[in-house]
Amino acid sequence: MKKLFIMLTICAAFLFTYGIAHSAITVQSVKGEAAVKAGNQWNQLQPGQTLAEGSKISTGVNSTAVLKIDNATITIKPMTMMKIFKNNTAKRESAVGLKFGRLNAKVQKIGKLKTDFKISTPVATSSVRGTEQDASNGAMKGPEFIAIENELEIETATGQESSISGDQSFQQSPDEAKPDPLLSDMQDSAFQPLYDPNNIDEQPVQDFANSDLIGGGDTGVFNTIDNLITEPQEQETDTTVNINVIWP
Amino acid sequence: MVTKKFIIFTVTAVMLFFSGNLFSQEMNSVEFINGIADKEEVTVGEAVKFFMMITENRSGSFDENVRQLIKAGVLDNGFDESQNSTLDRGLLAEMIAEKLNLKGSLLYLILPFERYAVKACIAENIMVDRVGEWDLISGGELIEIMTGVSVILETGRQK
Repeated sequence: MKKLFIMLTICAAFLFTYGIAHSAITVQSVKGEAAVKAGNQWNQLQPGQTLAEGSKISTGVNSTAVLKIDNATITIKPMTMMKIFKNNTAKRESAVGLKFGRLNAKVQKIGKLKTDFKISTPVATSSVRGTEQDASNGAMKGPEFIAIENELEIETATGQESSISGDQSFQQSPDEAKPDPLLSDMQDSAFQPLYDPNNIDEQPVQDFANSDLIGGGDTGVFNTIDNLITEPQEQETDTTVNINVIWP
Repeated sequence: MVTKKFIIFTVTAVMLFFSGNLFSQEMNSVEFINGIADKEEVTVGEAVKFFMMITENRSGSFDENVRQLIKAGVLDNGFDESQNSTLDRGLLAEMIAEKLNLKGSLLYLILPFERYAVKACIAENIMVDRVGEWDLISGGELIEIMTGVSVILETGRQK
């Protein structure tokens, strides 16, 4: 009986701690069509509904949804597709991925507690600490982050870091931000069969897959890793060109 | 007794059928947007449907949509594109320029051709300045363009 009581107490303590560490992500309000993906189906979000890490959320035309993630309030604007990658309340770390569309994130600062809220796109990630930002991402213009309040730290896929503040914005064209060509060796070796697994340096791909940028290697959101492996990047090379001009 | 049960059963079945239909209608634009998001090329039919969703908040069959857009002056009277043909940037730009009455390009006001409609859309920051009127449009690009259009329609703001 005593043993059972101890086991139950341990289980309860574990569940309580887990519950605190991964507190509920709740839907505050919904206007129009806003849905969460379950399997291959989109189900309408309802106010008060709780969502789990890994949820994919999308809004339709003229529709918005407001989510509460830890101490952050996320407003999902119309025609947006995003995913909640991480929500660890104990470490005060949250991360969402923005495939396309627009978000507004207000992260409340709690005393001197260190909080970290990241919005990731395939080519750049913004990190917010107690501030408000607008984030957008699209196929043509790429990601754009606007620091509405306080400071915002941006890191691109190529490792460049910058910070913006006071209504400044950061924009990067999707063409400019392709990660370093990881398969350059393959292109040089004409006699090797294409996509020979022995000829690919897998570590950078693995590092990229595990990075915060794509939240631990989700395959469905950005397909970045697939693109890196299946489509060798074009490389700019310096070539000497001799031009002989013969004056008539 | 049997008739009463039958009526109740039928009414319930009809209600469930319609509630299912209503639900699927509600999810129309989410499913549609996510369905085209990863496409490398979108069709005229998809663009016309999306355009109607954004500008009229409803969408019918391709023929109905085209009739509506011709009536509104967004499409030419002689519009004869099939719904499965690939969409080029010029046609979409012309639809947008007509609907929003864009004044960003002086040339488009003088010469209302697709080429200058694209320039008018670039001037309004709806499209980016590295494209021509013959370029095809991907699903991701169409979503971004339509987002720009909806923001202008919503706020009345033009750059």
